[in-house]
Amino acid sequence: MRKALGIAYIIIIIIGVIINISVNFTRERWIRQEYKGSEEISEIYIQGFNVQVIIVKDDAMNYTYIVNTSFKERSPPLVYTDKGVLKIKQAFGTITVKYRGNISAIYGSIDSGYITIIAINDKSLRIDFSVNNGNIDCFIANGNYSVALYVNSGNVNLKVIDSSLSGLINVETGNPNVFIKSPNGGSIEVNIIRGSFSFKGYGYLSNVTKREQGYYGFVYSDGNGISYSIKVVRGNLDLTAIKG
Amino acid sequence: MSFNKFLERIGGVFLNPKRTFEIITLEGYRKSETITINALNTIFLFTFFFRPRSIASIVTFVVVVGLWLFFISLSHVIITSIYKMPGSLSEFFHYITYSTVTIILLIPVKIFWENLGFLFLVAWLIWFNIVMYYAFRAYYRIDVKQYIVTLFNVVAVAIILFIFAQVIMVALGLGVII
Repeated sequence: MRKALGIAYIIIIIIGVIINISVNFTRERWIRQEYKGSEEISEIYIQGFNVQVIIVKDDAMNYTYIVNTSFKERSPPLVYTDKGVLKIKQAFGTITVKYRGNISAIYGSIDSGYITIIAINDKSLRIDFSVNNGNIDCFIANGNYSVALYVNSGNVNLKVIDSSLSGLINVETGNPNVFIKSPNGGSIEVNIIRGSFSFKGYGYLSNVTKREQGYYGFVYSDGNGISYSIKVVRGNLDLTAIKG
Repeated sequence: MSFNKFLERIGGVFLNPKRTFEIITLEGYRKSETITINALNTIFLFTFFFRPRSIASIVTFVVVVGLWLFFISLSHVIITSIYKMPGSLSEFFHYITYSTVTIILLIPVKIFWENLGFLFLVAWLIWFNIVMYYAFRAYYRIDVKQYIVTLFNVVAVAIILFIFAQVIMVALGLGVII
């Protein structure tokens, strides 16, 4: 009996190695097939992995996805495209989106984890991301953007370079940061239940007001003209104008 | 010692680990047994973690092996220094290696990871610790309380080191581990 179990151990280990390799490579092959890049792909499910989506070519007719995955993600995230709109939904983990081009909107939500969105050179892009527990890092440059970022518990870091922006930041508990270096106009509304808002800009701050309890408003400009009007509906305020 | 004896010892760990480790103490061991078991387990564990084109999976494998060696070494230091039990780390390594044959229960963890994998993982941890206790007991002659205290000590040191590493990483601006 003992000897039989000893033999069984060796056989089971060998079978285990085969199973491990089989499971690993099957999952990998499946993902590679799903992400071969085609205009016909309208809906892509990734099961069991963190996901990083890099859209290399995105003229709304021909999407190419390069997906880097890492193991140990149990909840299925969803990557969904619909005529130039990218949607990502994931239970927890990390989502990183990098792309170049002109898709019209990016939507993403994650229950617990981090979202990073980098958008550059967009004539018109809507960014709508939400995180229940975690951070959102958003960098936008050289374009026109409409950004709505929702965080229940965590932080929002928004960096704006040379862009016009219509922005909304909703944070239940956290300390959102906004940095702006841009001569273009726009507006940002920040809503914090618990926490403080930190703003830094290359330019001038004016009309800083506290109209009522928990409500602040100010105008930020780069010196050439009025740029962003920012109001903080709730929460504390920390303002820094780097010049002016 | 014959190969049959080696197989019987592995089977004995599954059926009656307490008696098997006592037999190992009485009859001795050969390095080839340790090498065989570790080689099989290493190949299994590497394929368990490995994912194509994923450096993170290889790093995870290396970290797990490192933690295992860390655990064995620190346990030896704690038992020999606190309980003043005689023993050498290299000898103990042969004993503890036999307890790793329980690794076969990780196969259903891999297969059912999406569903029941966690339950199998917990079951394996319990089984592994029971078998490991008999290895500790046979070599160092410690009782179950001393074994549990040793485990807690190792975990405490690991947590302190983890926090220390975390603080250093944050101080250096390298982010957080988790």
